[in-house]
Amino acid sequence: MTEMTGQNGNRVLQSVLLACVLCWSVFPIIWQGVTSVKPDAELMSLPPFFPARPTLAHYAALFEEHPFQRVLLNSFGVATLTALASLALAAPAAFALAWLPARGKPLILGIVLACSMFPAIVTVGPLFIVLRALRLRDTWWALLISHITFSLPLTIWVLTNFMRDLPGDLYRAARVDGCSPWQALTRVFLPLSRPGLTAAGVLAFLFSWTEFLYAFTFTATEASRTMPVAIVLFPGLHEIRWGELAAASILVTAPVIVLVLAFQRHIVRGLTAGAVKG
Amino acid sequence: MPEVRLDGVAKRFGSRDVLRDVSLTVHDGEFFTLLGPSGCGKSTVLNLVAGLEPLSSGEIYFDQQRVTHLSPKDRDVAMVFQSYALYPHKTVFENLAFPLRLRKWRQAEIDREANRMAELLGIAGILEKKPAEISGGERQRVALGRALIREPAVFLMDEPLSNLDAHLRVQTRSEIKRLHSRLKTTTLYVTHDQEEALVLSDRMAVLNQGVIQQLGAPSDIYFRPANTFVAEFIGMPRINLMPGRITTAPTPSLDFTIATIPMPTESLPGEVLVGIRPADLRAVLHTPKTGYNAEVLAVELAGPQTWLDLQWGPHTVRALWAEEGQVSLGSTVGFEMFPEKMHLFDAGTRERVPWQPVTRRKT
Repeated sequence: MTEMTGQNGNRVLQSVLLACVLCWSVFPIIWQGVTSVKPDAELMSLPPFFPARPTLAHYAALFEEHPFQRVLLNSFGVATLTALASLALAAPAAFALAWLPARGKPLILGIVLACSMFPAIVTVGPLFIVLRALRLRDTWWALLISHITFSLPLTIWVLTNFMRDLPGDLYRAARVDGCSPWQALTRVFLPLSRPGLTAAGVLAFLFSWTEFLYAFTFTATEASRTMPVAIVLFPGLHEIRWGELAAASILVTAPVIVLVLAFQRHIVRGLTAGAVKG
Repeated sequence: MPEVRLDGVAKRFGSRDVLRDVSLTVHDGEFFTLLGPSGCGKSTVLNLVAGLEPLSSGEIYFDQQRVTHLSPKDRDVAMVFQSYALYPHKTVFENLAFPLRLRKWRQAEIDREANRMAELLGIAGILEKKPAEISGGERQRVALGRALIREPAVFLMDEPLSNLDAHLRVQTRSEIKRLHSRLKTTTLYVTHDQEEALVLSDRMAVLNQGVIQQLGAPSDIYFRPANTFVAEFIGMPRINLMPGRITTAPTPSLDFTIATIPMPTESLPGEVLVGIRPADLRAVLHTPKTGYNAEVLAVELAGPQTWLDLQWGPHTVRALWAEEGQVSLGSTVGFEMFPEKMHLFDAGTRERVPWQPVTRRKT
C-alpha cells in the first residue's frame, strides 16, 4: 500500500513539475497568440487577458499593408529547398560514411561535426564578401548556399547514424545480389531510411525557417527577406505595432509546431539513432 | 560450375590477423564446409570469396579466372546470411525477383522464375507478404530462394540455420542437402555446428584463429583428428585427453600413471596426450578381465545414452554407460579401453602422433 501511495505521490509531483515547465515555456506563445487577436484598443490594457471581441484584423493587415505573401514565400521556398538539397547531398555522404570502405571515416565525421560547431557569426563576414563578389546578395541563392552549408553537418550526422543502424547484412546482400554501391543506396537503403530522411529533412527545414543572422545579413529587400528578418524590421516609425508583430510571430511559429507535432516520433528516433542498439 | 580456389589468403584488420595463409580448393559441384568457433575467421572467408572485403594478401580463383579484385556483382556468387537479410520494404516476390531485376530480366521471365522458385521451396502462398509478416522458417526459404533464383556459379552460406529452432534446423538441413544434390552448385558453407558440418559436407575444413587446422572428408576429421584442437572441437561429448608417457625400456609401452599399454616396437619415447572419445570408453557393472575400474563422479542422462564422469586414478574421464540399469554416484564401475580407438598427440606440439596399436592377443 505504502508503495502505491508513494508512486501516486511521485506522479502528482511529476505532473505539477511538468505543468510548471509547460507554463514557463508555452506562456510566451500563448501571450503572442492572445495579443495577435486583440483589437488595438485593448492591446495596452490588462485585464482583460482574453479579448472581449477577438479580431483577425492584425493578420489581415500583415497581408494588406505589407508584402507579407512574398516574405512567407521566401521563407517557405528557401526552407524547403534547403531541406531537399541537404537530403540529396547528405544521403549519399551518410551512406558512404556508414557502409562503404573508406579510410579515415571517423576523422571525416569529426570534421563534419566540427563544422557545425563554428559560431555562425565567424563566417558571416567572409561569406558576405564571397556572395557580394558572386553578385548573389539579396537572392535566394545567398540564403540557400549559406543555409545548406550549415544544415549539412546535422543532416549528414543524423543520416549516418540512422543508416549505420540498419543491418550490415542488407548492404552485403544487396551487393551480392548484384547492386553497385549506388544501387544499394537507391534501391535498398533510401527506401529503408525514410524515418531518418524525414527527421533530417524536418530539422533542416526548421533550421532554415528560423535562421536569422545570415538572412539578416545577406538580404536587403522583399526579394529574398525571410520571416524572422521581416519581423525584426517591422515597419513602424513612431510606434511599435504590437498586434501585427504578434500575428507575424504566430505565423512564423505555427509551421514549426505543426511539423514537430507531426513528425515528433521520427525526429526523436532520428536524433537518437546510434545511441542505443535497438 | 567452377571450382573455387583460395591461394595463401590472409586478412588483417589493423594489426589483428583474422586469416593467415588460408589455402583451399572447393571442387566443382562440391559441398564444402568451414567449421570453427565464433571469431575464427570463417565468415571472413565468405566475405572475401563474395568480394565484400578486400584481401590483405593472396589470390582467389574461380576455375582459371582470378577474381581477387572483381566486385561482387561480377563474380556471380549468391549468399545466404544468418540474419537472412531480406529486404524489409519488399514483398517476398520482390525479394526473390530483386537479383533478376538488377540483371534487367524481362517481367515475364521474372514471374516465371520467381514462381518456379516459390514452388520448389513451398512458399508460393506468401509471395505478396512482407518479410515481417512471415515465420522464421519461411524467411529462411525466401533467403535461399533469392540466392538460388539466378543459378549462381558459387553458393555461399553463412550459418543459415542458426536462427531456426532445433526441430526446423534439422528439417531445413536435410532440405539444403537435397537441394544441393539436385542443383550441384559449388557451395561454401560456414557453421560453428559440428553436426551440420559432418552431415552436410563432401569435404570440410576446421578453422581456428585464422588458420586451417585440418582439411578433409568429415570421416577423416572425426576419426583422425590432426591435433588436439580438432579432436576437442569435433565430437559430442568432448574427447577425453589424458597426459601419458611413451617409454621404450624395458619394452615399448604407454604409461598412464595407473595403467600401461604395450606399444609397437618402433615407438619413440616422449610425453603425449592420449585422446579417447567417451563413446569409445564403455563402462560396465563388473570389471572385465582386460579392463579397469573407476569411481562414478557424475551421471548425465542424454536421451538414448547415459554419460558417466569417472575418477580413474589421477584422471577424470567421461565414458558411455553400456548397461541397461541405473548407476549410482560414488559406486565403482569397470570399463574397457580399446587401443585402436586411442588417439595420440605430442604433448608439446599437440599434433597427432600416428601409430598402430599392437594387435591384442585373443584369449
